[in-house]
Amino acid sequence: ARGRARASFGMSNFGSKGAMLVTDIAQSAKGTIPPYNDELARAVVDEAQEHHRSILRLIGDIQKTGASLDEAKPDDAASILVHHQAVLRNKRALLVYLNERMRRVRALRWEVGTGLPEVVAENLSHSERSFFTQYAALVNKYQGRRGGVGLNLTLDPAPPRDHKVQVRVLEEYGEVVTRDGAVDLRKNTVHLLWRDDAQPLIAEGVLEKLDDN
Amino acid sequence: LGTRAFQMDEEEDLASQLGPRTSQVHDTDVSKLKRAFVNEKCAPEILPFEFDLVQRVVAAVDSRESVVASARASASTGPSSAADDLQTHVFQSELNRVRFLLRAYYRTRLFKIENHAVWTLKEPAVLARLSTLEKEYATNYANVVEEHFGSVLGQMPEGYGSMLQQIEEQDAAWDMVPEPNLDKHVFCLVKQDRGDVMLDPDDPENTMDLERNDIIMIRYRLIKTLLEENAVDLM
Repeated sequence: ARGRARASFGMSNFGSKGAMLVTDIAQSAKGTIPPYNDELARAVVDEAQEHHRSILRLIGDIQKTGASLDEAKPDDAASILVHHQAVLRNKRALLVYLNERMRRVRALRWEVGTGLPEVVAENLSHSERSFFTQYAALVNKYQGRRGGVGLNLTLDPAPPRDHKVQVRVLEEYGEVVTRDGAVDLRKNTVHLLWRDDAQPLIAEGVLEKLDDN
Repeated sequence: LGTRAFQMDEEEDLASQLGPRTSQVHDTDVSKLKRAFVNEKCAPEILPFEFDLVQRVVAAVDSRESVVASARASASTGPSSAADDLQTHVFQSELNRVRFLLRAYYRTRLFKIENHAVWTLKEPAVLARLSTLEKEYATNYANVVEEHFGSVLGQMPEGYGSMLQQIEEQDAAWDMVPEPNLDKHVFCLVKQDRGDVMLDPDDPENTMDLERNDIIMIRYRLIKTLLEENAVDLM
C-alpha cells in the first residue's frame, strides 16, 4: 500500500523542500547574505503548483460523481485539505526565506550606503537587487532636504562622544575636502577629522577609528 | 525700605520656584526630545510623532549651527579668546548630541514602520501617529515590498499569490499581516501620583498603587493609556 501511494504522487515528503529553504537562510551567519537559492525556491513553487493540480483533480473527481463538494467523502475532503495545507506551508517557507533576506538587504543600505558592493550584489536575486535600489531611493528621499527631513540618518549609529575623531587610513583614498580644508588620505596616515566627515568613511572601511584608550 | 522689601519678596518667590519643581522649570526641548526618543525605543508600537517638538529643535539646531559656523570663521581669521573657543567647543558638542537624538528618533520610527508597514497603513489609529513624510514612506515601502515578494508569489497557484491573505477569500480577514506585540514587558518610570489604579481590565480587582518616581515592570498594553497621558515614561 505504501509503495502504491508513493508511486502515484512521485515527489518528496510534503514540506521538506520548504524546510530546506528555511534552513538555508537560518543557518547562515547573521550579517551575511548567502547566494540566492534560485533552484530550491523554484522547486518549492513547483511543488506548490503540483499540490494545486492535485486539489483541482480531486475536486474534479468529486464533481464527476455528481456530488457537491459539501457532500464529499471524508477521505476525499481530507486529501484536498492536506494538499491545501501543503501549499500554504510552502508559501510560508518561501516568505520566511524572502523576508529574512530582505531584512539583511535593508541593513546594507544603513551600513554600506547606496553603493552595493559587487561581492554582495552577485549573491542577490534580480528582484532583490531591484528592491535594494528602490529601498535605497526611499531612504534617500526621506533623508533629503527637499521633501524629506533634511538629516543624514545613517550617521551617528551610537551617541557621539567627541566631535573630532582620530582615524588611520586603511585604504589609499586620495584627497578629501573637509570643513578645515583638503586632507590627503594616504594609506597608514593618521588624521584628526570631524566626526561627520569621518563617519561615512569609517562605515565604508576606508578609515579606522583609533580609540583614545 | 519699601523697595527692598519688594525685592526680597521677589527673590523668595524665585527661590520657591527653583525649589522642588526645578525639574519642571528646566524641562528643555532637548530633554523632551531625549524622553521622546527613549519612549520610542522602548515601546513595541509606534508612538505619536512629536511634530511641534521636532520643529522647535530643528529650528534651534539650525540657528545654533550658524552661530558656531560664524564663530569658527572669525576665529580662523582674527584673534579669539579662550572663552570664545571653549564656548564654540561646547556648542559643537551639544549640537552633535542633539543631532544624534534627532537621527535616532527618526530612525527608530522608520524601522517600526518598515517592520509593520501593512498593519500601520490599515489601522487608522496607528496611521494617525505618523508624520506626513512617514505616511508617504510607509506607503512607498509597502509597495516596494509587494513588488519584490510578488516576483515569487506571482508564480504560486491561483488564489495563493497574495501577500496579505494565505488564500484569497472575499471578505475574509487579512491573516498574513504582522502586528507589534503589545504584551511585551517594559520598564516604566511613574511621573505623577495616581493612587490606586486598575490597569488590567481582565483582572479588575488587582490594582496597583502608582506614586511619582515609582519604577514598575509591566506589560506595555496595560500602561499604554498612561503613556498617552504622559503619566509615565518608558526606560
